[in-house]
Amino acid sequence: MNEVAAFFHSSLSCAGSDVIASRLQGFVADTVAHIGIAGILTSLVIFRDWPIRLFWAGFLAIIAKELAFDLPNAGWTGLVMFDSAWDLASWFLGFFAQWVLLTGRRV
Amino acid sequence: MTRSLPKIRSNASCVNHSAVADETSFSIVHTPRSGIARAIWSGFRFLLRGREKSFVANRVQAEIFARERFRALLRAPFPGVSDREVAEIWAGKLNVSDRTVQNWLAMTTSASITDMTIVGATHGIWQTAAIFVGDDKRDEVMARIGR
Repeated sequence: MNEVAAFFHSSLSCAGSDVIASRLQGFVADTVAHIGIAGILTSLVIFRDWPIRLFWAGFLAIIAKELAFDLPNAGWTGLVMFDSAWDLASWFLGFFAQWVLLTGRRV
Repeated sequence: MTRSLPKIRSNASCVNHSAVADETSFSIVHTPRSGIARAIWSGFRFLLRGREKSFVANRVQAEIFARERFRALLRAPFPGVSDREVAEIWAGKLNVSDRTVQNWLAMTTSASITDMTIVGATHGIWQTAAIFVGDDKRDEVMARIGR
């Protein structure tokens, strides 16, 4: 599958390239990517006072991407709905992982 | 050297010093530890409410906070040591009386910026910041010392 086209398909649909990676590997890579991008944005928001709305803008962009591409391209199947919800959860995981770790400071 | 220094009092009329004296038992060491649930909840609040847009200090709470954190700075290098012994050690280093340091430890007087600088310098900036900030994030500190 074309790499650009893969961006517009769920990793649990046909986007998983069997040649270079399994569908599970693609799914894990996508999950880590969502966590990583959210983590970078979270760092900028917390440590550089970037506006929090950038975090929400990223969240809305993922929703739009899922609704406009991943879900319709996969025929709104249950598995891809799960993948979309997982991607959204991963986005929050990127924020909360960092937030919770920062809360663990002790005197 | 047994010279006792006068108590440092704020000139601000809004500062209730008796209220400060009532809070001497408060310690950052004994504040409730933040659990995962509390941290996640504070994260949601941060995402939904954002940062404080305006800030006006609560002088009483700010004074308590500053004294409490300075006390933590004094105690930090000597865990398990009594306040009297801690006072003796710091008095020698800061060239002030034992009584002065005891007052700081009891949170009945505020240290000067000079004393805070000296104590902070002995810790180093990272350790000083870690102790001074404690468990709290900036927003939590602002909420505590703001109106």
